[in-house]
Amino acid sequence: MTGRFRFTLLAILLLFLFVLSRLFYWQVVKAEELSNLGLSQYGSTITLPPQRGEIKTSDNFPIAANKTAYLVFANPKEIKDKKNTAQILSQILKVDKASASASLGKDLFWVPIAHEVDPKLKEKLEKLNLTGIGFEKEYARFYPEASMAAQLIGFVGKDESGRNKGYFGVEGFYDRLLKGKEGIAVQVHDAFGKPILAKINPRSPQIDGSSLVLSIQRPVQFLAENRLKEGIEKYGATSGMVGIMDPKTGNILGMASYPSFDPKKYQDFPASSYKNPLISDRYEPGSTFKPIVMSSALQEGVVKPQTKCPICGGPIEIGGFEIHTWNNKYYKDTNMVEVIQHSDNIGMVYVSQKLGLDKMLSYLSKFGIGSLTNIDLQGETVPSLKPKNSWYKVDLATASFGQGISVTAIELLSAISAIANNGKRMEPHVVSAIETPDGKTIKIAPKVLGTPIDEKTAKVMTELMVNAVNKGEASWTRTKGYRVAGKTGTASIPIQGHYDPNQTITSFVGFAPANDPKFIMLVVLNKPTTSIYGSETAAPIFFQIAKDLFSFYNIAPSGE
Amino acid sequence: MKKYKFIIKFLITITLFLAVGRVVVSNIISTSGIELGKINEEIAIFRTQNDSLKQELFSKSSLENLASEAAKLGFTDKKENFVLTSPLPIALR
Repeated sequence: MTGRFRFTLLAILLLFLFVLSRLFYWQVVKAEELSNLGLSQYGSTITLPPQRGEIKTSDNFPIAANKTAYLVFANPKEIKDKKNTAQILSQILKVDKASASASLGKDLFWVPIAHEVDPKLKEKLEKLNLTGIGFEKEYARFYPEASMAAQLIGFVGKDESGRNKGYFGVEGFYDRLLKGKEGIAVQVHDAFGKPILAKINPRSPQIDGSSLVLSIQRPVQFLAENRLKEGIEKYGATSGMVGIMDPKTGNILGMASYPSFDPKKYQDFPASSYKNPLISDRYEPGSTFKPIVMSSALQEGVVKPQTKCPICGGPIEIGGFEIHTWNNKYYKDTNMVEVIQHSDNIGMVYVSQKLGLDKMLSYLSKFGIGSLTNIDLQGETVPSLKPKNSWYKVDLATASFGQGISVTAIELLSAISAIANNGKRMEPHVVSAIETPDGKTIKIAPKVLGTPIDEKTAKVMTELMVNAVNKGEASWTRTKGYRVAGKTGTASIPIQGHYDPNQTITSFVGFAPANDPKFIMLVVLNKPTTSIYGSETAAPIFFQIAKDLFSFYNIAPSGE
Repeated sequence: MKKYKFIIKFLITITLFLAVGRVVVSNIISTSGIELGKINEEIAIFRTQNDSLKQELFSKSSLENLASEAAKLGFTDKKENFVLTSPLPIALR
């Protein structure tokens, strides 16, 4: 009796365990699958694409906006006349017929045919009532100013899973902020397939991307691009770039480079054109580097403006290398004001010798040479400074006039901006505010990176640069009536262990009005052919843009 | 006893009333799906129209477009800036 009782009890217990395990299987293990199955019987889950944030210039004009577009997809299993459907799709959507045929020939339930299809084309296709062809709403980038600031903005491409992703420039740097988050909506149907209600799943709400307001001023960008293009054509250069910044805040006001690309058709351009040369290309700056070395020496007190150069009477030999001036003219007992005015290489060698290697490296570091500027753009590179034990005497000498040392344009612009801003070096940035989807505006405050020189030294160096503009090689092209501080640059290009004797990188860096600068600008031309000198190529472009800026900012002449 | 009868009658009336009300409301709601569909379609059309108008507005007000329109009308770059550096002399008589 006890045995039978125990057997029955055990059987019931096992039965309970079996029921419990099945319940666990259906309610826990298979819960999501069943839930989806149930959902599919009364409705369907749809993905709601978020709107990518806009990129606006400082006047709130969207330089990269969004437009509604459609993804055209097909269910090849539903299509009977595949040949005819492929023909129609290729005609209307302007896609390759072979590619459309191949997609429709796949043994799949869903194949994408074309992305970013215009609403008008979608409407045209819809009217044909093709079986097995469907549409999904998506957003595509729209550029009202076409390719303006393309290398600064970057472009939107696709990631591995086919979702939008920003590459290069602002799009790449701020991709996480701009892209937002996809939402899931449940579309419930009645017995006839008509929608009853649309409800967004509260667990994954759709969040649009934040918009960015740039410090870029549209007219400044427009005229910088136009003047640069004109200049490159006029002086027969292979490429060029212009960077314009507010030295007091580090706000980038304009950043132009040529040749550029069209962000809408980025696939049609070589990948090398995507990168922004102002932050990615390194070059030897030549004489535009001299103000950094000279102001370091002035700050350290090893030279004064009236200090005479005892070695400037002729070429000098250092470590087996003979160093010349750019025009083979030598000025005996010249002073520091004239060294900058004549762009005297020998004078700068004297300054570097007075400064010494330790101090030189220390000041270069304070000016940010060899470090990233942390500009908010994707793709910034930095050529690092050689370690101290790798510097020979001749390296110190050539670095004083900007040869044998590489920088990026933004690095140089940032360093010289310290002279324009009473010794304070500001962090360069292009985004001045972030607008969140809930309407909040987060302003990005200017950031001081360091104070390599004091206000007094900055003022003295500014006067030396004003004198260089008024009496130096580029004085013929200066904007008369305005106090502009500047310096020309003509740098030899290193190729295979020596310098190219026929080709140069020419540049001009300057700021104005010198007493209270509104902008600092760097113009760089690569291999101009009409002249190899900065004073005859980059300088005229600088002053042409400066003249436009004086007019744009309503700056009246105040004497030279 | 009378009191109980009243309560029962009242409850039956309320139940019937609510049942009829439910049938009426269900009937009204059952057709709203079609209207909702139409409204959604209209919203989509308006959104698309709004987007294309926005696109047109931005394209027309782009500096690129304004510069080319200005050039067509004969406007050219000014060669020199004109600046008043001191007040104009005022004739005493």
